[in-house]
This record gives sequence, C-alpha cells and structure tokens, in this order.
Amino acid sequence: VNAAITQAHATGLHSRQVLVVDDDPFQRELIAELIAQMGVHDVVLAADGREALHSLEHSRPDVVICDLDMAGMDGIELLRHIAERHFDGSVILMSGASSQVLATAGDLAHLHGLRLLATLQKPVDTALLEGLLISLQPAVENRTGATAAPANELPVLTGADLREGIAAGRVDVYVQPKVTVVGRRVVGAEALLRWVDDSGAIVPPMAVIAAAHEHGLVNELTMAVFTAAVGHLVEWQHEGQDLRISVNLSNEDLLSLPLPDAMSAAAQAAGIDATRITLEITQAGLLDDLSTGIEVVSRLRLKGFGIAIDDYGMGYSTLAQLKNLPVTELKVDRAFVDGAHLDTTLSEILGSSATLGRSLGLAVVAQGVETPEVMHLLEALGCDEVQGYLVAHPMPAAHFLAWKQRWDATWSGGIDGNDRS
Amino acid sequence: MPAALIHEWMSVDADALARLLNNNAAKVTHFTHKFIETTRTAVRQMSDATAEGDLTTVGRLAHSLKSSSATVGASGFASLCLEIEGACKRGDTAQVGPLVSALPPTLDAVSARLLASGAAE
Repeated sequence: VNAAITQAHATGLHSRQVLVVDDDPFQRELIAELIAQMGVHDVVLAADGREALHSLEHSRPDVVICDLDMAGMDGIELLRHIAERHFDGSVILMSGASSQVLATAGDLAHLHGLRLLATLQKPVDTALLEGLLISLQPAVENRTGATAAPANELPVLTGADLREGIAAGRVDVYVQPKVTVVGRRVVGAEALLRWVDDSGAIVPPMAVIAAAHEHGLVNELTMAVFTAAVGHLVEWQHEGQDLRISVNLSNEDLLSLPLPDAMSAAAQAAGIDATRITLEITQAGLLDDLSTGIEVVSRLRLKGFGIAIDDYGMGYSTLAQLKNLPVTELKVDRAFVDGAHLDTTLSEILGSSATLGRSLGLAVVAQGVETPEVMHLLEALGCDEVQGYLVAHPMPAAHFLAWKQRWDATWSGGIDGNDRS
Repeated sequence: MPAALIHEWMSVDADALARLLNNNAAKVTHFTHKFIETTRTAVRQMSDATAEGDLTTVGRLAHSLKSSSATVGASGFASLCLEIEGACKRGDTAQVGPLVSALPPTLDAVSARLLASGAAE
C-alpha cells in the first residue's frame, strides 16, 4: 500500500478527482475501489445521469468515467448534457456493448466537443485505466526534458492526423534499457512509442493508441513502431553492439494474420535477424480470439522472433496456457515488483514466477525496478533480467549507446552502482 | 436445459476478485456480498419483466450482469447473460423464458462457490 501511495504521488494520481457514473451498484462501487487502490483520493459516485449532473454543479472532476448503458438517462444523453455545461475535464466511456457501439459513442463525444480519453470495454482493464489516469499528468514526460501538453489540453488525434503522421515518419520510439541481474550486463532495450505533434507537444502514448484503436490503424501504428525500433537496432549493430530490442504488440495485432510475414520481411529488409527482436504480447489480448491469436504468435515464433508475455501475473496467465504458447520470456508486471521487498505476497508471486519461468525454460524479466532493495530480492529469487528507473528511465534511442558505455564502465570497474537512481 | 450446459454456467474463477483487490480478504468478502445482493435484485426484476413480456428491461439487465459477473470471475454466468441479451435483441420470447428461469439456480451455485473461496482465504 505504501508503494502504491508513493507511486500515486509520483504520477500525480493522488490529486486527481474522478467522477464514476454507473447505475449498477456493484460495478460503481468496485470501480471506485479500484481507482482508490491506484492512489486517487477523491472519487465521487453517481448512480445515474441526474446525480452526475447534480454533482457537476458543485465540483469539476478531472475525469468523468461513465457507463453507456444506464436505465433512464443513458450515457449518450448524459454526454450531451455534460457538453452543454461546457465541461472541460476528460471523459472515459465504458460499456459491455460491442466495440462498434463504443466507437460510435466515442465519435458522439468528439462531436459534442468533449475531451474523450478512451472508450473501454467492460470488464474494465485496470492497468489500462490506470495508464489513462496517469496520462492526464505531464510529470512523467517532463523528466525527459521535452514539453508535454498540459493535462487540460490533451491533444486529440484524428484518423487523418494518425495516417499522415505514420506516413510522415512521425512515429519514433524511446528506449528503456534491460540488464541482466547477474553481472548487470546490458542486453538490449524495450522500444516505447513516442509521438510529437505539429506544435512539438508530446501526445501521451495511451492517447495515440486509443486513437489508433478508434480509427482502425492499430496494425499500421505497430508496424511504424517496429520499423523505427529495428532502425535503431541497425545503428547499434553498425557500432558493433550485440543487442536486442523489444516491441509491444496491441491486442488487435494478434488478430492480424498478415502481421508475421510483414514483420519478418521488414526485419529482413533491414538486415536484422528476427531472433534479435522480441515481441511483447498480453495474454488478455490472446483471449479475444484464442485460435487466431495462437496462430499469429506461433507464426511469429516460427519466423524467429522472441515472444514475451507482458502482463504476467495480472490474472490471465495460467501455467496451462503458457505451456501451450511458444513463449520465450515472462515479464512480471511492475505491480508485483515495486515494493516487493516489503510485501510477502508480492515477493511470493515474484518467486513463483521465477520458478515457473525456469521450469519452462523462459527468461524472467522484472519491470518497474526502482530501488536497490528490490534488485537484491530479484537476485535472491533468481530473476534473469530487469528494467526500471534503477537502471535507467526511457531515453531517446540516440542516447542509448552513450548511456551503455557509461553503464558498462561503472560495472566493469567493480563500482557498486546499486545506488544509482 | 442440458446438464452439461448448466454445469458450464456455474463455472467460476474464484480468485478473480482477490486479484483485482490485491488479496484484501475483507474487501473480497464485501464485494462478493455486494455482487450477490445486486445480482439477486436484478434477477428478480428480470423474472418479473419476462412475465410481463418486457424484453427491453430483461436485455438491459442481462447486459449489465454480463459485465459484473465477468468481473467477479463468474464467466459461466456471464455467458448465460450474453445468451439472454442476444435472445432479447432478436425478440426470441420462446428462448428468453427458459434462460431467465435458469438464472436463480445458477446464481445460487455461483454464489456458493464465490463465498466458499472467500471463506477459504
């Protein structure tokens, strides 16, 4: 809990005000609880549109999280009323309805001039929701020195912006280094989407991804990130560096049967061996359409790509499923890593992940490693690789080799670099 | 209703709520009870609405229960709700009746499983 609070302060989540509108008492209360768990102090509940509007007369939440399908005033009608009141916070829509219905509602929200952050399928993916709430806050991006759009001017990408941006090569990546636990050797990096708009402002990755979902451009966006990442790997290879890079796949990518061939061809064209590239997938994504997902993943693996499970421990991964998937790497979510040295439940989950990974011959990577204490625990538990602020923040790919040189010098010199942050 | 189907509707991933709530036993118990209470009320309303031929209400409640039951790991109950929602959209009164009458016993079985796992924590 302490770790969650510390993290909430770091991300600014604690100072957010969130209004949750859902007519189902169970779901309303549970979503409020999950948001409170993220460290948000100020969560207001409304059982229907009328209560929501009443609440908006007295307060101005940063985000309204609204269910679409409510008895009486439904979510769409509520959106109209909210827009009429010139609400300038953000809106997240959620529904158990088909993604098409959600997309339509999303379009309506845009038409009303509301700042729509995302449309989420129920049951809501809490990691995604947390990411969205954090994306409201520019603090994380500011660390990298660039200017982020103020929270109240979150840029909205249109389909045309996205398409033109992808064509114009606006998609770039930041990279976050991965090092081995034993020997602290730099093995490579994870590529993270970075989108800078015309004004020079950084559009939060979540907003870009949400827009790509909305406009059916997910595969195009993934290929652009992949191409950018492979381009950097080529530069590193030219410098004689033996490194790997990881690229995230969206859930929708797992439904794209042409993707394995496209990625394989792109890697080949760049002169990069597919075994140097790891594709990170989520098991939650696989569950959308298990048979297509398994086919896509298996073909990617056949072409030589490494496959990492990115959401290990988040409730979707089962041993039985892992055995049947051609996976090469298990990434343990930061939720189980941050503060694990203070929490026996977390450290047990970490330990069992490491054991499971070893028994299946998988590399186990811990994400979100921020303190030397956690690093020592991972050492004791037998994790293979780590990623996190203790090693390095995400950085421009052009800075990576210089960073690696400094890191290598520190570690080969035998200096205890555990205190770096 | 085939026994195998009913059996499937009762399937529960009893740890789903615990994972969401970071294994906080008190909260898991609270939300398990909240789910059962909310769902019982909705099931009663669905039975009444079915008797009155009000498929709109039945469908809307089935839609809502589909999400909440998936959240607590009652995936079988969620698929039963999905079937009811579909039948309501098609206006298939003949199918809605028997499916809705399967709700109370299924909910009882699901509730028992959820509570048993909560007590075992």
